[in-house]
Amino acid sequence: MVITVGLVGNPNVGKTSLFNKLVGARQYVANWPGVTVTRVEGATTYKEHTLHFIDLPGIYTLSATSIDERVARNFLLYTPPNVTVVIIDSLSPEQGISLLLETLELNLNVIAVFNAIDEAKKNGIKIDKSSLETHLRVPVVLTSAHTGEGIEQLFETILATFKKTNRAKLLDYGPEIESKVSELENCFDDIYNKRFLALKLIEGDKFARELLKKDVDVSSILDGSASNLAVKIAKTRYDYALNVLNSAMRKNENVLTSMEAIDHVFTHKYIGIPIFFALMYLAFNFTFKASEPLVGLIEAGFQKLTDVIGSSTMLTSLISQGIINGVGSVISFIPSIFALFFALGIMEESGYLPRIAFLMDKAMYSLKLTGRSFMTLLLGFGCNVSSVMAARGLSDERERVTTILVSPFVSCSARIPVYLMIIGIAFPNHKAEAFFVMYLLSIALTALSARIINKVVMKGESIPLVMELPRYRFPSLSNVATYMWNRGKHFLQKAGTIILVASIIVWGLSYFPDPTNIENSFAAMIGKGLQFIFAPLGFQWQTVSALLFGGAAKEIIVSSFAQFYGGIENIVIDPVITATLMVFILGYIPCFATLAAIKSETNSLKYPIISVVYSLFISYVLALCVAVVGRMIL
Amino acid sequence: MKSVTITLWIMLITSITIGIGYLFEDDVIFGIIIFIFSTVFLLGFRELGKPSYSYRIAHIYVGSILIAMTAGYILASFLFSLVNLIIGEEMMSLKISDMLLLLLGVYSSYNIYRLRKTAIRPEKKNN
Amino acid sequence: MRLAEVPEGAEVEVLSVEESEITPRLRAVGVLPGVRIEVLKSAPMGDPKMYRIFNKVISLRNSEANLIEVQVSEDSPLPLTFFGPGDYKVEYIEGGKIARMNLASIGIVEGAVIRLLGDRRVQTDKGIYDVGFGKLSKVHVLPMKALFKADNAK
Repeated sequence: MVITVGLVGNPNVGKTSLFNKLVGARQYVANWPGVTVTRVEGATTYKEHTLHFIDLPGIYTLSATSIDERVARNFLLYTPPNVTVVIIDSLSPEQGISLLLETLELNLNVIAVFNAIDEAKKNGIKIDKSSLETHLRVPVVLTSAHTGEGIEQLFETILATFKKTNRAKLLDYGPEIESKVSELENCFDDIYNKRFLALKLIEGDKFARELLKKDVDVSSILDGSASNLAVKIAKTRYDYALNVLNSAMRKNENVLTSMEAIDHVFTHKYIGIPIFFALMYLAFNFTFKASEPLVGLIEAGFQKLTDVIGSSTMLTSLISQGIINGVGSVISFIPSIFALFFALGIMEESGYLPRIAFLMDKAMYSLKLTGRSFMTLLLGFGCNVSSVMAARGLSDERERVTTILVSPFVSCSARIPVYLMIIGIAFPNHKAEAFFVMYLLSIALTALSARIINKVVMKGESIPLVMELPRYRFPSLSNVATYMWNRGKHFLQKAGTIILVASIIVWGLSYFPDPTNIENSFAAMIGKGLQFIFAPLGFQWQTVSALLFGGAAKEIIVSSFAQFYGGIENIVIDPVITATLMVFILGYIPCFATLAAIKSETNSLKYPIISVVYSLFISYVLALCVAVVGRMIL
Repeated sequence: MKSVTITLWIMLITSITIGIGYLFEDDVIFGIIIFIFSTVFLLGFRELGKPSYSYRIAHIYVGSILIAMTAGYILASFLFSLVNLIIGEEMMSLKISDMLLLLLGVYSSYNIYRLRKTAIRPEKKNN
Repeated sequence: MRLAEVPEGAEVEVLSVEESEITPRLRAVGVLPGVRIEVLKSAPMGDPKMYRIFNKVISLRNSEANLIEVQVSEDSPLPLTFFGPGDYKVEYIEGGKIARMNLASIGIVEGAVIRLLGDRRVQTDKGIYDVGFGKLSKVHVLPMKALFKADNAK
């Protein structure tokens, strides 16, 4: 028998940890159709039943105040699972129980799980399970995703509940509201859960309005008191939750002071931000410098392989220059990417990530984003792909899309060799300054794009913060490992194939039709053909061809330049054109790996295309400005 | 109370020394990072007059975590660099500051372990 | 007053929430009339701030907190700068060792009863002093009459 189980709960209750414990490594990550919300499912067998788990996004309410909530709610409304597990944090249960009461209105088969009971015990909190069951009228399981306690019992309860047919009695909201509910129920078709929709309608849920029967006018029923009633409904739930907790939980004095004390340092007025920058420096260095030896090892290995095979014939050339080079460059990414996600995983698991958002929110406000996307964009300085993928963790869809579209303008590490080469040619005495300017420009361009995209895509609304700060916890290595493996694998699959294909194409364009002279290759022809477009910028055809290859991956620009000019020493470009070139390279096109990531994260072709068009356009304009101004100055 | 002051002094003086060491070895950025973490201990002294217990040890606890992480980073870099031996390049050489840092990292870990026991104990909220 | 104006360390009770795009979200997270919110900490630039609602810590921007109309709980200490002349008990003093020592030298310590005079000077058991606004805002007090009420209620 296959039993579908939906996992619902507030963010930060340990839903994902519990999910990991329930299904192990057999997880499948995808997107909910049409949106950038992550959908995680997994399956496991227990006593000859197959349990198919779906980890729904963390939510506070089934009223759709955000896309995450809409996705979760739609799933429960239209395709309800056989069993719904509502996961509540034992140390902060009030909001969770309110959510539980909402799911009961959907007539679902519910189990209440109180997670983190190991922490509850440590803090001297006593939970009376039978009292909870009596008052909530659903089966209750006490678990700890951390120690594994209660997991077995959860499985058992799922099986037992699966066979249940009666549902828990519904909450009574008082005569005033209940009468309105009865009236409104008639305005919905029978196929829907009418009581749920009626309540949502009173609560002001726009989505519920869309499901009304045609030509029904509810304004007379709802009238002006609607918002008061909405408050009353919410209050009724919370009052009920508090009553339940009063009889079923005994606490000591406020025990969260340890978290407050730690936050006192991490969000300290003076030292909070410096600590963050220091940690970022360490994290980045760990990702790139510490893993350098491993990268070196892999590159050396591939180099040996290429030498052995040689490139004398077309086939060997294809294999060594095209395929192995391509595969090699992907594989040499691996240590850095995994190290990056390891560092990121630790920051997320420990609870530090929201603190970063908290510190940086004010600065991000001017970009119409929130502090949450700061970290995401920061990752872009390492590799744009990781930034696009990290956007998955943002809780607001509009913020996700904006961050994803803006990521390519963050100057990734792949561009460094290119800058080095170009700066070395034209500004050998001002290397540091030139670099600094480039990074400043990158940040400015990113900020500018964020504003533009916000205006266009989101009509100028800013994204609210309202962000929960979870307890600090010692990161669990297994969770970090799962996180790292999932993300890393995802990157390799997506980026890997693209880079490989791109490498082969690049090879093909430069090899044919004349392997002995690159000036006769297709690449050169394309470059010469397109040169007229770039004439105002002062680019020669060799530059254009190299830029073409740079679309595959920015590092290739260096080797392409070398190939087309016959050696870097031979390149002579004047300072104005160099500056123009650098500005153009900054954001002219996201590399193929990034484009692949954008496509897979946004689930559509629209966004990568927008990205390409916008990048080309704005980089051209910017470069043109530099060219014109440069000519005027010099 | 006394042990808090002593630990703060130990961590402060040692970390500043290590920071200076890095400056002398021309690793300015890393030295600055160590100094930032030293400031955590320095600011811990401000808390000493307050009645709240947890705020006092918070500086030691967090500062120790930061130092331990930095020491871990050096250790990881070193271990990864051993791979260089295979391809014929040099491994990372541990300088004196690095080794002092690793030692402080061990002491920091001990601090963390010791404080976790006491920090978990629930504390009466200030009335 | 609005939640955004409430200083760190104070506890307030929600009176009402203005309707807006994010109000459903605020309601979902527990910001409802009658609910107590504790103001925990603010970010380095004063925005956003951390609030404890039931047992969760939620950070809100000042623009978001401005939607919430609150009143300060009776037993929640506030900086002396929020009050008019009267008698107060010092509950908590912000600041580092030096600031605390300075205040202690003129008789302002935790537990002491002080009087705020009409000309904004402070009377302690050590005398009458002129305390600057900055220092005064670090002294968190409870009005004596509130304590009186509580004692009578017992």
